[in-house]
Amino acid sequence: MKGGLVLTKLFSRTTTVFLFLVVLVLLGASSYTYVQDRKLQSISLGALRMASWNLAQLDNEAGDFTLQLRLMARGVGDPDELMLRYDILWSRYDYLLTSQESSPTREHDDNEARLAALFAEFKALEQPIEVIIKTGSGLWSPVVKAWEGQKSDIRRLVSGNFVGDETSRLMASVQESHNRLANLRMVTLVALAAVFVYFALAMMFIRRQSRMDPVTGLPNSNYLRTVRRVSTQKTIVTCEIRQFQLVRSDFGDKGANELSQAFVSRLRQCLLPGDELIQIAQSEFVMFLELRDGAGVEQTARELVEVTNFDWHQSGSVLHISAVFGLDPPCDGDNADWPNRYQRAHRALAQAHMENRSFYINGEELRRRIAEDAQIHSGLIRFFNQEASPLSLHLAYQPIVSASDQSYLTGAEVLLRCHHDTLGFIPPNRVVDLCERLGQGHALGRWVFREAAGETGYLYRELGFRGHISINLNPAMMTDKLADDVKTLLIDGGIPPSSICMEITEDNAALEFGVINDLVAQLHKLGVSFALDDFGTGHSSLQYVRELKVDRLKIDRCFVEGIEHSKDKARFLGSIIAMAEQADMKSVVEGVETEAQWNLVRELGGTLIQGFYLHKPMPIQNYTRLLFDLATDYPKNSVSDTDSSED
Amino acid sequence: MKWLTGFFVIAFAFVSGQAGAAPALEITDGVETLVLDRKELEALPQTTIRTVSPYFVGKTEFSGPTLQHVVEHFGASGATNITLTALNDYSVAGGFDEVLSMDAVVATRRNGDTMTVRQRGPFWVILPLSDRPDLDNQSYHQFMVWQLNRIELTR
Repeated sequence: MKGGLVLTKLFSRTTTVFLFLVVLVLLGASSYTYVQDRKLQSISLGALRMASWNLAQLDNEAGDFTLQLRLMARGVGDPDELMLRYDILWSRYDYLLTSQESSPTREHDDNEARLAALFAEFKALEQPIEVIIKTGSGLWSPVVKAWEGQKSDIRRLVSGNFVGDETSRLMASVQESHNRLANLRMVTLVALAAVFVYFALAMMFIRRQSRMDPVTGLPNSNYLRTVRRVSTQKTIVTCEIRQFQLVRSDFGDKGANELSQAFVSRLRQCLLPGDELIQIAQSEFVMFLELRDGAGVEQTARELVEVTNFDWHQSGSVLHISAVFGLDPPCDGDNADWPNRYQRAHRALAQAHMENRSFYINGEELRRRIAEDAQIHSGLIRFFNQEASPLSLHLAYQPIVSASDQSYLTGAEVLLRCHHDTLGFIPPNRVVDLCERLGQGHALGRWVFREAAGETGYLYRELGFRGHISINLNPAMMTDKLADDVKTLLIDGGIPPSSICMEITEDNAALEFGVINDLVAQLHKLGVSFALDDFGTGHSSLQYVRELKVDRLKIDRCFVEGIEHSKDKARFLGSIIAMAEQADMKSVVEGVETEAQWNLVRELGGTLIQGFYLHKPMPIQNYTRLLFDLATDYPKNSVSDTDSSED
Repeated sequence: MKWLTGFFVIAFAFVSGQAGAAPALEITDGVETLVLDRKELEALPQTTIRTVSPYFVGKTEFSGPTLQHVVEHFGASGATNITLTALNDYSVAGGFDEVLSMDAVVATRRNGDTMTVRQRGPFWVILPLSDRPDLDNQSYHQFMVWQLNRIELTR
């Protein structure tokens, strides 16, 4: 993490701005030297030649004038020739000072000022010369003297310009430009190298940033994508926080992030050196775990589950947090490559989710289970479509009797039985779960309704049987369509509404109480009653009893177990029955399996009893036969009014 | 006839030279020599050109006979080279056809005015740089002789 800090500082705003300024200064310096060197370039060789030439001409013409002047001084000169040379020199000065062509000559150094000064001095000679010629005085010496001075100035100008100064100055300029370029090149090279290093680091930084979760600092899904290989000796674990969306909706993104961090710190407790923890979403994680000494994969899984099971305190409220894990244990052999293993870990996670377990370990069992699920599912679809199917559903009826009279049969609970040609008997829970999971829940519920009415309708229509028929409602049935389904399938199928009892479990009542109570009220209007099944096994049981407007309470078998050995347990069961009575509910005690239990429950009184001791679930034929048995009594048409008056 | 005219001109030039008048233009092929003053040059067919130059900003108007006319007037035949010389002894030489192909004008006036020696006159070889941009470079500029004094034709 220390390297990360250095990188973060390296890419802070200050550093970036500083570097930007450095580059800007370099750019400025480059532009400056470019402009400087452009100036140098503008001194073309041609212009230089022209300048030299012009100055050489000036020297020549001055020489011609000197010659004429000396001749005049000796009295052998020609005044016209003198004036011609004077004019020619005059025109040279004019040319040097005004002509476009001679501008390089002027512009060099202080040439222009020197030329202008010389020209002025030269013009000053005109008048004395004219006077001497006109008067013929022959007094040339002051003029000659003045001119000799000018002449040596011209010499100095000419030689200074192109013998010593000009060339060396030019060379110096070129050298300077070279040095400047070399320096600049050096600086640019260094700067380029620095910028290159900076960019390389920036790339590293960005890669690192993009592979890290900003909240927890863990490697993220981008990192996971770069994973090509995971040792076959490592366990791959996928993990998801349960109900994370609720946290987000209740506590916002900030709360969700805090939970993520809390969760990660707990997961970290389980990590050993060499383990990896990757966060692929706010609530999803992947781990690569080394083999634990002396601990199996299952034990590791249990540790993980335990560590991540905690109460999260947040702004005054407490939330219970738990997670689901899917594991792919170390493996050798064919499908041991990373993508396959990752997929298998996910499959285990998905299965754990579906079966509401806290973890699943990929293995033969999971594979078989998934394969079986697929077989069952396709069998169910065929069965519901009334096609030939290896799977068939049946109904069984478990009679419920009065505690006060074991031969008085008050009705029966309809139970689902499932048989598969190759898989054999399949537990009904599994069928219901599968149907719910795979969208067949409603079809299943309707099939049960139709089948139950088909099998028992005869009893109600022909025999005047008025015992109740208790049917478990799977969650998918708990919709607005329920009243319609009951009417068209059960009531129209011949079962009187007062004999119909819908059983809901605490788990599927986990919907909102308001919604359930609306359904209950709709069906109450038809005369249908409700029972709360498996009472006492879920969370907040008493709250359900208080909130739900049900007519019966089916007390779970766990409250019956052991009552024959423990008075406390018996008393406890009694108090539950008493409580149900207080709440105007009839209680049905489930799971009465021995005579001792039967006797004890009967003593508690006022209840109905369901259990193996008296009647096991049976096919409709046996149930019908039981009703036909002369020893059996049951609610009949004539007494149905009193029976149903309980509701 | 031409011969005779030449003679008179030489004689006149000699006289006027002695009198301190403006310098004249001497044309020679080594055998014959013809001296022309401004009036004589302006008696020849005149050409006026407006052109840029290395000497003045913008375009300047020059007028005078073309070099072609001057040379024809002299009656040169069979010349292969031409040398232009100035009062300051500057001289430039070139192939006869090459130099004539430059459409040079022996200007006697700038912007309608005659030119003194101080103004780089009285005669100035001007090339039509504006009309013939191909001539606008150093190697042709050297033919733009000011204070033109002498034209020498050689074989």
